[in-house]
Amino acid sequence: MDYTLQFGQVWPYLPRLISGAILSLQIAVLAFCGGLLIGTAGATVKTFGPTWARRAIGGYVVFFTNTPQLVQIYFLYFALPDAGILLSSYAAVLTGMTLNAGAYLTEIQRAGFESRRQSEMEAAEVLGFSRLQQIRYVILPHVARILFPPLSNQFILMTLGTSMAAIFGVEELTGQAFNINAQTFRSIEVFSVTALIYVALTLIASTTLGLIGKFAFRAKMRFA
Amino acid sequence: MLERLAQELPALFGYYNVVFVAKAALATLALSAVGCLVGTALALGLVLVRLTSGWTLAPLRWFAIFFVEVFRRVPFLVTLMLVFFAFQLSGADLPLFAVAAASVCLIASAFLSEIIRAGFESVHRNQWDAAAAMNFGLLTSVRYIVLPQAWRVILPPAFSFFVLFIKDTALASQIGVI
Repeated sequence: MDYTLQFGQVWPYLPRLISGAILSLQIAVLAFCGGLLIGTAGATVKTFGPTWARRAIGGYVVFFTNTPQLVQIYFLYFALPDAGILLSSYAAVLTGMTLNAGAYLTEIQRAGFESRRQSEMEAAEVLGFSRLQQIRYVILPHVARILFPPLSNQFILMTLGTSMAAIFGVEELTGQAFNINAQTFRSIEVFSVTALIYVALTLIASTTLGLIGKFAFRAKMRFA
Repeated sequence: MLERLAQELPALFGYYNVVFVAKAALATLALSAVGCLVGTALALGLVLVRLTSGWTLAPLRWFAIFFVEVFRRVPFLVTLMLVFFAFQLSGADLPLFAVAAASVCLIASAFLSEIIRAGFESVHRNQWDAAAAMNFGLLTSVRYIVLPQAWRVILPPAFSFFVLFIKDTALASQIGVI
């Protein structure tokens, strides 16, 4: 065991790691927003929609929450070209993560929607609120307060999940780490610096989300 | 495309492929089982360490907090690479499965210790005080007072984590575990 750690060799590559981290965050945010759209639609249909639509959404959720995300992206990236659909690695990763996030967020939001209470709606109706007012002033604040913590938790998990993009050659944080590792062969140093950047990234994200949740939605948040 | 698929299908489901996939599925199962079992045991240990009091054990507590916070915030792929290269560096000639199992245990213990800690926190403070009043030590009060009440809170998120976890072991393919 004659290996000396030399972090100095990783230092010049730090800007590349940082730009990779920004790309990671970008993928996570885009996939989360897309997933939120799918999830909101899915949860609405699953709570209020007709039976066949509920079944269809249920099938989508079961399929995507019970197969590994890696396999889903593999399918999009390596199997779809056979059918004539050629996705770039970035597009494949983003699509896969969005679809996967959509399934999880559907389930999370459905649970949130079901937490609304009949008595609350009736109280709002007694006060003469219109349907829109009921949603705006009664249901949304309540549901947002319940949903915010699990949603932010899912976002953090997705930020970690973006490391999968490296396998498909997207140059996000882990992808850059693979490249730098291949150039310098300073494996331990490169990957421990990468790990530290991930820790910093998720710490910043969870603190920001915690503050937003606490002050904007009065949600019960646990910090760090 | 469909014709070609139909042509290749018999070869795909040939004897050796099926056996190969079945073996691989067993490896996934073994990896997940090791992660879940060892992870739970380690996680319980970490939680117990964090529950101790007194300044002599403070460094151990800090280590537990540091460990949990770091490994919860590092992607599985990066942990896998770190453990992989660390084993290589140490010169230990271990099979790849052991490397994957080690990283799986690290991640599982970090995540599960947070789940178990949340479960412990759901037990009312008075129960701890009552246990202390009966002169129960840390281990006995956890064993007889806290765990029986907390495990109903711990199990659902722990199982959903196990499910997530089985899928995450797919990443072990990246260091060549079959």
